[in-house]
Amino acid sequence: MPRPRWSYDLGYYPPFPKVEVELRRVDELKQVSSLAYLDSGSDGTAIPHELWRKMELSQFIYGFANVSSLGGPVERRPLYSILLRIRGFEDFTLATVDCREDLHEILLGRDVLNNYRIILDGKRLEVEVSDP
Amino acid sequence: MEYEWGHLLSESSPLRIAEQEMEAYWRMRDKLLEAYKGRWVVVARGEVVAVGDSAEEAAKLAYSKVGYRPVYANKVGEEEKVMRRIYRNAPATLEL
Repeated sequence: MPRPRWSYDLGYYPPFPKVEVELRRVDELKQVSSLAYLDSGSDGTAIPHELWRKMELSQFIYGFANVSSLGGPVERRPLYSILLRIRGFEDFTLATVDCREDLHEILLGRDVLNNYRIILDGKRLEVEVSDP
Repeated sequence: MEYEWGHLLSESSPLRIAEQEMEAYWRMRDKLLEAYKGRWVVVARGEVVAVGDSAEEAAKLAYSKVGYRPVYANKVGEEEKVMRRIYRNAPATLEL
């Protein structure tokens, strides 16, 4: 069973747990690898608009969500289907992502994180992911 | 509804197509509730093209039937719960 580990990103204060992910368009014609940050406070996963453009996701709308930040206004936004896996694992799973211009990194929300067993070792600044 | 990509909202734009599928879903919603409560339904070209127990299962089935095109999916009877997203980590601006 794979148990890949990553270091927290020390470029953030406090340090931010991150992993490497592979994103694949559902027709499997485009794929990118990137760092992604673990955001268990978010219901869903969001990616930067720049990735949306690079992967040409416009045809892959899967629905709409009412999206807000805490205390912020609610906005209806399209969600795009995409295949996602954390590096070190075999299977891709389908995620529906919000593509945002105000974002410069991938944020993995609980829709993705809940598929794994994740240990956040804040003392060692290390993330361990497994899929028991 | 205004989107930040409003310039893409022509009648044939992916966003407009997805909105039309959403409108079709809600026109059928009473019947969907009778037949598919608790299941994921995908609407394309104005009709139900896939039903599944998870978003992933329904998506795979839908794409295999209608190809890769904008669709509208939701979980019947739990729409507001599954199609709501709150970011607890709002981007913060710190001015010193």
